[in-house]
Amino acid sequence: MLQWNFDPLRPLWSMLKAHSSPSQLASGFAIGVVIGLAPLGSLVATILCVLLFSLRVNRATGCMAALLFMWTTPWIAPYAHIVGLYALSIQSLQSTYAWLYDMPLGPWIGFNNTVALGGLLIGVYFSFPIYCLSYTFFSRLLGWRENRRRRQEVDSLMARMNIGAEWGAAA
Amino acid sequence: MVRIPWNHVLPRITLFAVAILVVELGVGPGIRWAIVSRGEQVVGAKIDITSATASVLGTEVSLRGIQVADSNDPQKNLVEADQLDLKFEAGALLRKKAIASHGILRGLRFGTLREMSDALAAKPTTGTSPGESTHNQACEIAATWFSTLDKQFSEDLTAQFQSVRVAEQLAARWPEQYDQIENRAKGLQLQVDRLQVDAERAQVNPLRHVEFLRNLPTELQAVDRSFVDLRAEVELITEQLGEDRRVMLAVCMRDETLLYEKLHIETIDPAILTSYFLRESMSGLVVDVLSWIDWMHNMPRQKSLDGACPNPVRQRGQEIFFVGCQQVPDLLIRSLDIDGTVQIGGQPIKFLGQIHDLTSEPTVHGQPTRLELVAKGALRIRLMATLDRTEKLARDEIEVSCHGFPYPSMRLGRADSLQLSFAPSSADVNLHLKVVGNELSGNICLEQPAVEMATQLGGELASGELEMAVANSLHRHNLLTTRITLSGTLDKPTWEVSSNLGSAVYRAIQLALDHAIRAKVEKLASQSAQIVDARLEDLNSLATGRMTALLSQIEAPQNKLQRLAAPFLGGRDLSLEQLGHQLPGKSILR
Repeated sequence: MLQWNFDPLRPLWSMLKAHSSPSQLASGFAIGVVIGLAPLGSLVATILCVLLFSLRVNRATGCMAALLFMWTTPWIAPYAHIVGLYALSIQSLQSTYAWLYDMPLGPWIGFNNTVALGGLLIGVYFSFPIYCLSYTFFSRLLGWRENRRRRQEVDSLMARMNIGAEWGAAA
Repeated sequence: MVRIPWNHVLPRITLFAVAILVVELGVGPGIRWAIVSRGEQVVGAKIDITSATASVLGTEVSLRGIQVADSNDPQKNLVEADQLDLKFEAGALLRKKAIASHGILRGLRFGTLREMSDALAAKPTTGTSPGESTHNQACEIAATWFSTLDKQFSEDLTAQFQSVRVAEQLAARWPEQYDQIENRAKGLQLQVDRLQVDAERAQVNPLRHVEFLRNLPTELQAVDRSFVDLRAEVELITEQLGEDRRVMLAVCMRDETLLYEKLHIETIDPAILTSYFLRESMSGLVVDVLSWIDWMHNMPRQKSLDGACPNPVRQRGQEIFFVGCQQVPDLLIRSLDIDGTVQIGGQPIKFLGQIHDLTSEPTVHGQPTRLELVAKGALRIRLMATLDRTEKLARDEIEVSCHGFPYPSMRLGRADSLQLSFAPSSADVNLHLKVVGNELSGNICLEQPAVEMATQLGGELASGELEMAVANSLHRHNLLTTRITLSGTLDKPTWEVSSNLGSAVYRAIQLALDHAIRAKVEKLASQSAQIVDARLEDLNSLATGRMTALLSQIEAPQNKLQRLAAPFLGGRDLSLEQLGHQLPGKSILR
C-alpha cells in the first residue's frame, strides 16, 4: 500500500537526484542562486527554471538554492536597487533598453525595475564564484562520501574475513 | 530518415500541454481572486463574483454575478451586474498590459438586496443631513411667523377698544351728574316752596316777620342766582354731551386704525418659507446625490490621495520608464457598453450607455473617464459624467437631464400651521454638479409644469374662507420651479433651496389674510360701533329727554320764585332797594 502511494513520486525523486557529479551539482546550485535572486514571476525566472530542468544539471540543489536565496532578497534588495539603478542609468544603453522594453514580452522580463535587474545582475555576477565554491564543496563532499563508502566496504570485507577465520579456527 | 526520439519529446509535449491547461483553467479563479482582493481595497466594501472564466489564448475574461456591497448598508448592494465580458488585445498582453478595446457590462442594477449581508468595515454615517441647522432656523422663523398669525387671529381685540371703554365711562358719568343736578333742582324747589310759605305767613303778620321780610329779597335773589347757575350748568352739560359725542367718534376712528395695526401681517422672507416647505422633502434627494458623488469621487481611494498611481505594496525598487517608450496604463477599457435597470419612483427604468477610457492609471493614459447613459422608454433621462484623474487635482463633472420624472404625491409643511398637499405630477429635472479636488459646486433644478396644490390651515387660521382664499391664490401658480444650489466641500457640503413656492405662498397668505383682516376689522368695528351707538343713544336720550325734563323741572320752581318775588320786585330784578320800595306804604319797613 505504502509502496503504491509513493510510486508516482519515484520518477520525480530520481529526476531530482539525477546528474549528481560535482560539476552538475555546482551548476544546479549556481542556476538556483540566480533563480532565487531574479524577480519572482518574471520571464527571466521562468527561463532559468526551464533551463534548470532542461540542462543536465542537478535539479534538487537548484531548487534548494532557489528557495534558500529567495529568502535573502529582502536583505539584498537595497544593494540590488543601487546596482539596478546604476545599470538602468547608463545612457548609452537607453535606446537598447527602450527597444527591449517595447518588444513583445519585453515588460514581462521585468528588467525595468531596479531591484529586479539588480538582483539578476548580482546573481549572474556571483554565479561563477558560487559555481567554483560549490564545485569545491561538492567535490570534497563526494570525495568524503566515496572514502567513507569504501571504508565501510573494507570494514565489512574485513569483518566477513574475520568471521570466516573464526569459523575456520572453530572448525 | 530522421528518427524522432518520442521517448524524449512526448513527455515534454505532455508537460507543456498540462502547463497550458493549468494556466487556462487557473487564470479564471486567479483573476477572480485578484479582482476581489484588489477591488475590496479600492472600493472599501465587500465584492462577490459568482464565477470567472478566462482564456489566455483567447485573451478574454468573463465575470458573472458581480456584487459590490454598500459599505453604509451591509444588507444592500451598491452595484450589481449580471455579466462582464472583456476582450483584451493580445499585443498589449504580450507587453504586460491589459487593454480591452471593447467590453460589455450587462444587467447593471443599483441598491439591490444582498443575499449575504457582510460588509468589510461599515463607515459611521452621520445622522444629520448637510445644512440641517440652517433648515432648523428657517423652520423656527416660519413657525414663529405662523404662530404670530395664529395669535393675531385668536386675540380678543374687543377688550382693547378705547371707544367702548370711553362710552362705558361716559355712560356711567353722565347719569351721576344728572342725578346731582336733579337733586340740586329739587333742593331749590323745596327752598322756593319754603320761601313761599314763609312769605305768605309774613304778609299776614308783617310786624312779626320784620326780620324775615328784610332778608327776603336777599334770599330770593340768592335762590334766583342759584337757578340761573343751575340752568347755565345744564346748558353747559348739554354742550359737553355734544363734545363727548365727537370725542367718542374720534376714538372709534382711532380704534379702527389700532385694529389695522394690531392685525398687520409681519413680512417674512419668502426664501424662509421655501426652506420651511421644501428643505425637508428635498434633503433625501440631496443626500442621495451627495453620497453618490462622494462615492464616485473617492472610490479609487489609493489614487485619490495625490492623484498618482502608487506602487503596489509588494513591489520593491523603482520602475524606470525609458525615453522613447510609449507609456500605457496597466489596465484600460477603451469602451464598455452598459445596460441595466434603475429604480425611479418605484418603477424600473431600463438604460443603455457607455463608459469610455476606464483605466487604473489615468495619469498615464491622459484621458478622463467618460460615462454616457440614456434611459429607454417613456422617461427620458440622459446622464453624462466626466471623471478626470489625469491631473493632481481630481475633477468630476456630472450632468443629468430628465424629462417627465414621476413626482409622487407629497405633503409639505405642518398640519398645525399651513400644509400644502401636492397631487402626483411629472417634473423636469436638470442636475449639474462639479467637484474639483474636494470643492463641490453645482445645482439641481426641478420644474413641475402642471402641479395641483391643496392647502390646509391649522389653528385659529383654519377657516374655510381663508383656506379657500389661499387655495385660490395658489391655484394660479401651477408652475413650480425649485432650484437646489450645492456648495462647500464633499466633507461639509452645504445646500440652499430656492423656489417660487415660497413667494407664491407668501403672496397667497398675504392676500387671503388681507381679506380676512378687513372682514375681521369690519366685524369688530361694527361690534364696537353698536356698543358705542347704544351709549350715544343713552347720552342722546339723556340730552334730549331727561335734560329737557330737568330744565322744565327747574323752570317750574324758578317761575314760582319769580311770581313770589314779583310783589316784592315789581317784575324787575330782585334788588334790596327795589324790594323795600315795593313794601306797602303803611309798612313800617318802608
